Amino acid sequence: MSQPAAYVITRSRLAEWVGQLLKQAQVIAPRTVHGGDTAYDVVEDPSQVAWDYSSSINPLKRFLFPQTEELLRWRRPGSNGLQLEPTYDETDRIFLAVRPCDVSGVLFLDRVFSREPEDIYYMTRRQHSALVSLTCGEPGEDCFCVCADAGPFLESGYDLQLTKLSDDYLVEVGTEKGRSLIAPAEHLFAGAPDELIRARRDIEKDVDDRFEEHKAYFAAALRKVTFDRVPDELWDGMADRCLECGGCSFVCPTCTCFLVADWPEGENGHRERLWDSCLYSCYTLEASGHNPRAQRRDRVKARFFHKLSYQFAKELEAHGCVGCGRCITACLGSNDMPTVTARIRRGAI
Amino acid sequence: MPHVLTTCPYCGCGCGLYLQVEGHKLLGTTASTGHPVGQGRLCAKGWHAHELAASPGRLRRPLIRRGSSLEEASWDQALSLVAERFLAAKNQAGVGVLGSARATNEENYLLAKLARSAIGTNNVDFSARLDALPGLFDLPKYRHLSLCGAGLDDIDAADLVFLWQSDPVEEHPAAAARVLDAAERGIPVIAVAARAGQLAEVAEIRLAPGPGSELQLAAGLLHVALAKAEPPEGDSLAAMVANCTPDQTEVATGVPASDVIRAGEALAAAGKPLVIYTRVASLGPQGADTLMALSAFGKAAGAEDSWCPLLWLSSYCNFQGARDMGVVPYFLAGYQPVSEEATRAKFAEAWGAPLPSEAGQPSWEMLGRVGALFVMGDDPVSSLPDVGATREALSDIDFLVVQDIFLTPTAEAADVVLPGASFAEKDGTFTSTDRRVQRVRRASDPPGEARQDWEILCDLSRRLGRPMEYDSPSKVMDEIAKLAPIYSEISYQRLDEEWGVRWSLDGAVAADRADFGSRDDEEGPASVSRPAAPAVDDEYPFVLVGDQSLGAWAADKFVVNAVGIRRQQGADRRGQLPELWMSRADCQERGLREGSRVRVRSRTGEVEATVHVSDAVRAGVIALPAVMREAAAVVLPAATDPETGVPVLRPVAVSVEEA
Ligand code: SF4
Ligand code: SF4
Repeated sequence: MSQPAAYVITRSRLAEWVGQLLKQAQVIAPRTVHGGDTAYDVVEDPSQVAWDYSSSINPLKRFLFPQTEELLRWRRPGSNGLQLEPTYDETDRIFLAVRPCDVSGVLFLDRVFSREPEDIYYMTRRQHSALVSLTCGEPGEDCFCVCADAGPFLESGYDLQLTKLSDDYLVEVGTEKGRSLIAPAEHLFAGAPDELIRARRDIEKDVDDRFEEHKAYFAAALRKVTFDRVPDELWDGMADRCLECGGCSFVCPTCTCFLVADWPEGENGHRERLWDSCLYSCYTLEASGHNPRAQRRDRVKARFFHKLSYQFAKELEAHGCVGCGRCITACLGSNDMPTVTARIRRGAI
Repeated sequence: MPHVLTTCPYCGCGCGLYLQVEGHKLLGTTASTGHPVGQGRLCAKGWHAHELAASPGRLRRPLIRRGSSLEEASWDQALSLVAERFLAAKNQAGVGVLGSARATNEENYLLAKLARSAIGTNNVDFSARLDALPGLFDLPKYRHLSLCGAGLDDIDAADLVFLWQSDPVEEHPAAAARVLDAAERGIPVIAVAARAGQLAEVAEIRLAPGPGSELQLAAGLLHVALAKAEPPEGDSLAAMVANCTPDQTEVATGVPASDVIRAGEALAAAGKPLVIYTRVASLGPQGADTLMALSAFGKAAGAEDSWCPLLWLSSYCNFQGARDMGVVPYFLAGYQPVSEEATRAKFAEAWGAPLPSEAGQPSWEMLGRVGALFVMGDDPVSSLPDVGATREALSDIDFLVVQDIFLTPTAEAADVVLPGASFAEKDGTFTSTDRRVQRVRRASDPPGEARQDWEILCDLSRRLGRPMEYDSPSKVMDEIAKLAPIYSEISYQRLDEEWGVRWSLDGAVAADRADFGSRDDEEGPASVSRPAAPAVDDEYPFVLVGDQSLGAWAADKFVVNAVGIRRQQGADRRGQLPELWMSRADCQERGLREGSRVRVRSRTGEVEATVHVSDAVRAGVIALPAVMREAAAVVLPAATDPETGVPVLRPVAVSVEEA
């Protein structure tokens, strides 16, 4: 008998399922961390999963591409040479109840890090992870995933996709890995009847309509950026409003810039990589002392060129924005994606 | 829990952040969205805060001086030596203790307790205390100026914002973000500085008074605003600024009279003017008087009495708390004077030891006089204005102990170095620049043999014959709450439930406050002093300002030890020489370009620097980072405020030649 493409699980059984998942791997899910902040975080107990959250303060990339990550250790045993020990993270992780924009962010990172030469640190973590997406029935205040084609429902890319339907969750199976998350707890699930699958379609349509007003209307801005038709004064105005915090890079699910530092301790030592931001003044500093983007204006411009131009979108099959809205909160100025695209569209600050 | 909420260890804004941990490893930092200060935003310093704690530059073992080098030792060796030498010095040359604007409240409280009860001295201070308001703030009648009345939220409420000799972009981005928001809402911003900062770009009016004439500009603005307000006959403030007409102000400051009128009228039209300032203003040559004048802006604008027009931004995470805890020669915790017998009796009973009644010495006087000095988390070499004198005074001290997380310039001179814990490794509280007491939470362990600072202090106190026993910093806070009325509402439980608690100024500010213009004496009404601008001539044609917020990266161990911050601040871009900011016009005239090597000479010394061509300074004015003390100090001679005798930074006349 062929296996169903979708299941259904009642809300009251979720905890038991999570308990099962916790035996299989480390589970990372939305969790209330303090006073109403929700973050993707390691959960130790099924009751910690914040199923009804709106969005998380951190993107998933923190777990696949940590802000500070040890790459290798070196040792000099005696006089002959150097011993290198790479430090790969092979922990099995299940990312549970992750918003579709964040899943899309991971898919974007997959494309960046799998280009040759492949980033073995990221890919190792990724091979040991499973993505369980949770669709959005209600647009969050800052969300605009619809314009980035990154949510509120996904067609593919997930291992499992959950959709809340009154008392039940519809569980769509995307991959065999997804199916393996259900298998050990199969008694908790039932095959989804056709009317539930139809109900999910109806919800998707309804949600899409409600997301309408959350659109950032990318198209016009994309053209202007691609053909460099944004007046310099606009970039100047945005540069005045950039305080070089790097926050936009750090909360962005698709930003991947890093720098590498070596830390010697006597004869031994270790190498780390640390997140970097293209807005920092030393980002493009060359060893000669020359800095092609010494002006903040040039750095702001370069950032949005990378995010929005067709050249980059073609290479990575998507624009570098998934519409999560985190930069709206993080930016000390007002250079968040919706504001910037609106400025570019109307040609004024 | 892998996400640990804590408070940023950098500036005094007090943004909330989460440390992301795995096991005991710090993986990263995330902004807290619900936190009332940052509201999901952090500056580069905050975003890289975990790098500070994880830095390989951390001190890991106690060190004892043997000849010219510091060598590793055991805790027992180090602390026995410290106890022995302090017990001896106590009865001879005298002892001093410096606390820290970066240590927690609990640590500062214990240090002050140790000094007063176990060593028996009121020589308790921290060198950055100078930042707030030169010396004056210890006199009760000026305390309304030094205890900041305004808070960060007042930036959202203000209808006019002055950036007074400060651009919060440089050291306090959380405040800058709110100023940007205000500008976006159409609130007028007036930027006042010899060197224009980034926010000057969004300012409606820019004023560039000649260095040393800021007081005269403030008086000129008061003159214009008061003329509009028609104050009553005999008003002492109006009388004081009667002669400070726009024309006179132009002569004194170089700011065009028309700009003085525009800005003065904006002040008159405002109902809630807010003046944002930092140590650059208070350490200026007439800092105390300038701040007095600025505190009158509320009155001149006709603001309600309850509106405080001054927002002081401290450069350190716990500047406010160190003072609250009585790390001040004249106060016990909660600004309770050591001179009051009843206060001493209250503390003596709680501490089980008699307290000294004799007033202590402030840091800058203490250094040259004591035989033994204990420094916890302070770095007078980097904070006191006169670096040469500070170094000399430190080398004269028989026995110097430094407890810190990095080998600071002060620690390099020490006889014993004790490795402490960073913000990420301890429980405690910081008090923000606007008096928000917030939790610092332990997320990882100190490196190597480094220990919790409060435990080191308790260990030492026991060895000094006065045991202090606590289970945890939470118990220390309970004791503080009992003894210091301003902290009576604070407990860890309450801080855990909320996002920190702002302590109330009610009752903390003395009623007999001295206001600008109210200092009448027998000689008639007070008058505004003349500018403290240096005289330039053909030989020394430039006015050089030592700029506190320029290049903080170079000297500060908290910056150089966090890769990301170094990168954002541009430290990796610059060489070893300090950067000299010079106007395009002056550079053209002298054939200097970006990066040119120059020699800057004053009447007292000379220093090499590299030129940074900038539109931020006007012709004739040049700026050098004051924090690169070694370099700047030789051309920026030591100066003291004539009225208070407190060290200040004065602009000087210099020449600049290609090296
Ligand atoms: S978040 Fe905003 S202020 Fe921060 S670096 Fe990005 S654009 Fe600049
Ligand atoms: S503004 Fe101040 S408190 Fe906030 S993150 Fe930056 S340094 Fe830390």
